[in-house]
Amino acid sequence: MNVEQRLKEAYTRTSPPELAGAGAYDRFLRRRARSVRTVAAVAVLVLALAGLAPRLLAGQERGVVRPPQPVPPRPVPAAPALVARLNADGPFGRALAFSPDGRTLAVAGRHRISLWNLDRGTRTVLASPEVPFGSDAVAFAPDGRTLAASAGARVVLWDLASRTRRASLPLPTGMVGNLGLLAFSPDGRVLAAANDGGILLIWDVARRAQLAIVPTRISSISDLAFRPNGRIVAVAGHASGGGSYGPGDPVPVDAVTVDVAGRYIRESVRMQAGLESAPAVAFQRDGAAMAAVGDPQQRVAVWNVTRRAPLQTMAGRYPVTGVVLSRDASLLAMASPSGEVTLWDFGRRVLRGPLPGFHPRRAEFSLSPQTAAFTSNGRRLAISDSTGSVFVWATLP
Amino acid sequence: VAAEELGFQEFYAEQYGRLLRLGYWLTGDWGQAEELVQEALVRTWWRWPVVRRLDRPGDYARRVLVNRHRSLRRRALVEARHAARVQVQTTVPFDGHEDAAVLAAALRRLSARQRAVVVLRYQEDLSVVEVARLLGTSVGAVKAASNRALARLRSQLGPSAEVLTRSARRRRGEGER
Repeated sequence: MNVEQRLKEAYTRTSPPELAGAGAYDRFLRRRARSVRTVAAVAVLVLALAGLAPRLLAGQERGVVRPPQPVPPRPVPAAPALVARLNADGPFGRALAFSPDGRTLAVAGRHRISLWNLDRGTRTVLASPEVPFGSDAVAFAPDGRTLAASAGARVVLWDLASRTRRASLPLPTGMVGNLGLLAFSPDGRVLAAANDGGILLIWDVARRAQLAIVPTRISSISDLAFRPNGRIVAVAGHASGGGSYGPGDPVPVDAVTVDVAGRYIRESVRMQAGLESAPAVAFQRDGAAMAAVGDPQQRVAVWNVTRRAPLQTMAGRYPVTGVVLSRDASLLAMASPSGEVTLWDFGRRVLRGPLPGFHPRRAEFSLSPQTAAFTSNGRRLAISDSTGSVFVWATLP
Repeated sequence: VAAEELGFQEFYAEQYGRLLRLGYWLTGDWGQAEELVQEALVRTWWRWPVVRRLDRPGDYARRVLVNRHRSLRRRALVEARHAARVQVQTTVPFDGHEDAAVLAAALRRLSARQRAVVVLRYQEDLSVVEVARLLGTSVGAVKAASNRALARLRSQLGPSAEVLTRSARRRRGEGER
């Protein structure tokens, strides 16, 4: 037996000492909790250094921190401004959704759904008798009176006036996997949900009936959007199949459009993404689907899905760890690994930002359409960081 | 989130033993191995929403572990932290398998880099290209390091007569490779 074989054999026969596995997971949980506390401590320190501490304390009773309005108001303030910082429940980025009027932000929490009134800085909690009621995704109906929330593989409709659960939507039997994305059609009649197995579900909201169940060829859907006419849904995400990828390798991502009847996939593009970046998708006002993703060459690639053609490429200084598109595809938010988020304005062709007051843990931050949301008019952007705080900015002066 | 947590717990249970073994051969010490593994898994948890979508999330955790080990400053810290913990046994014999103990002792005498190359290439069965990418070096450097390391191991271990005849027999049986 040569040395190589002896090494291999010794390796396969290695077993850890008997007590090694005992309590390992508990030790892991303790260490993990420590690391969360460290991040929180650093975040607090950074905020304190930024001179936000007094305001933080002052705003605590109401739960919202609001930097004072700049005085005097400049004619054209160029940079986005921080509007609010909210405390969400628990770590991990939380799913967010703005109400159609942009005044209320729904934050899907571990045990509840919080509705933050951004004008008054108050919070309303939607709780369910089924405790704990966590939620993975939320979406407002266009009339602002109904909120759809997913929990695991269920979708519940809440009546916001009475804050009661109105209905559950039917699911195909045996379906598993979290529904991580929800979206209403612009007329509010159709609701679409994507699960983490790449399955797209479509319901008729009024009749509470399933319209379609579409297995897309995407392994995990990261964004979902309706065409303004409400008949077509676009989804984007990492393509299924393929091998394992290291940093710097291009990872295939797909964007496809589906008829709400789920009959066929109409258009699709395949793009190359960086390992950390998930694609975003949105419809332009003319009805063309646009998909964007951070690629391994430190750029953002933007495609017209409908025409299957590249639209434009923006070069960055850092790898882009995530992109989010506003609903009408007029604004794109992109993140760097250090947590710098900048906004690209497609119409004016200007880059705004970085967004002020945002200092997530370095090398841990990635932006995804699941944990960030624009208002329907694109004038506000909310992002939840990995420690559970939610930041809201005014994007356009 | 409950499902996310559960998914990670499953992943943890699946990977813990595998990573611990790799950590042991990289460091030659079960206590340090555990430190490395826990560190790597905490870091993997931080990126879990992204990592869980990968085809082989275990490879991500392994990469983190190897990177952690690579950083010498980090290793010094791990050692210091480990020294403060008394309850961990440092010299646990291998399940009565003597060759492993001999090999582990010989590996410990290699440089950290050579050891990493040998462990990843011959024990984790990674290709030269994968090893080079993991260690952030060139393919040539990996080949050179593994040749030097093997030569050193061979000279240290010294082939016993029995081993010689067996390998000679095998060579005759299989012919030219």
